[in-house]
Amino acid sequence: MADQTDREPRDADQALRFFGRMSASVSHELNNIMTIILEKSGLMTDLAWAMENGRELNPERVREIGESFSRQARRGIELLKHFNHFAHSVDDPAVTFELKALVENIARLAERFAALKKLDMKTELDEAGLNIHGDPFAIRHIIFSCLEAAMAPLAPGGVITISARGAGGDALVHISAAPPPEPALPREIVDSAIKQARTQGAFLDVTHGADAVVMTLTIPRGAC
Amino acid sequence: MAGQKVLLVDDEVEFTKTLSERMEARGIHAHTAANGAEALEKLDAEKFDAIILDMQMPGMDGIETLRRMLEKNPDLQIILLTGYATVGKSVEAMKIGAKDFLEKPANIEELVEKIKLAGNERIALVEKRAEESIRDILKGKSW
Repeated sequence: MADQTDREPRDADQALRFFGRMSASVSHELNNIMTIILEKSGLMTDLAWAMENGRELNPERVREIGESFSRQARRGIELLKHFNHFAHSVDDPAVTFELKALVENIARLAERFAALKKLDMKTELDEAGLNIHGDPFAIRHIIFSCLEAAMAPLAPGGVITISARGAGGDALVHISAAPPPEPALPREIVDSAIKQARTQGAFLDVTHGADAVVMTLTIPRGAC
Repeated sequence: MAGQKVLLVDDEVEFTKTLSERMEARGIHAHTAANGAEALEKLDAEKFDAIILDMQMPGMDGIETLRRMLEKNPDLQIILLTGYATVGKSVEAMKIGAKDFLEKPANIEELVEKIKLAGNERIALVEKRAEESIRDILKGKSW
């Protein structure tokens, strides 16, 4: 992996923008969750008022509302857990981390971007651990750039698949866009991801198949 | 105000379901749509006193939905519901023709008040259009 002092100032700007986009997306989703919880609590108050005024209340309604509070709270907790892992990824630029957990983390945070474009996002990860030594934030940034490039030209109904596996001394992350998007992947984003990969001693390759366009990120596993 | 009819457009189905129940309790008939395309279909089938439109939705976003709704009927009373990330877009939406906007989460009483105002404005517009139409007919007469 390259020493972090090798980074050009522009990379720092891009990294900050990436962090900002993720924070904005997560806070937007959390706002939606809190809005639902607030409306449900308002509904409880409305029902209490109706009961005070002689209306009978079906206990099933209260149970439904309670289940909704629970469902939304769990949704928020899961999102916050992923966002917390993401936020801590800037703590140390040279650390040993588990790649599949990282891929799952960034895929979960990118789901909302896919949903807004009506794309289906699949994550294919097996159980075996895959340790890497490097910068977990920079790797997240590269993978997100690939996801962003894959999502940009896809029409609603398109499928993004992300998978990770070991290959000798390397780890491979595949990001595919199906059906092959027309127009092609945005050159600017792909070039930026290739450049980011190089700063991490990694390599990004794009192949155009009949069924999908696949970006393959090859990451040396470092000291692991 | 009783009997006013609104269309709630938001991809968070649990939100629209709850808000519509709360509106019904306040005498407003609320219909729901989970996306812009569904909302446009409902507009073809029914008339609404006001439309409550979320800005960020999958597929057709709030701005595009707003534009298409106003193409169908420029007199529609559309109130935007926006998360804090899209206030800039809300200003753009007001320029396109949205009547008002509220930040999510909105206070229900404030929302009901805005629906009431929108409904009154719609009635005033319908009356104005009818008056203009009668004036045009009278102008065409030869007496």
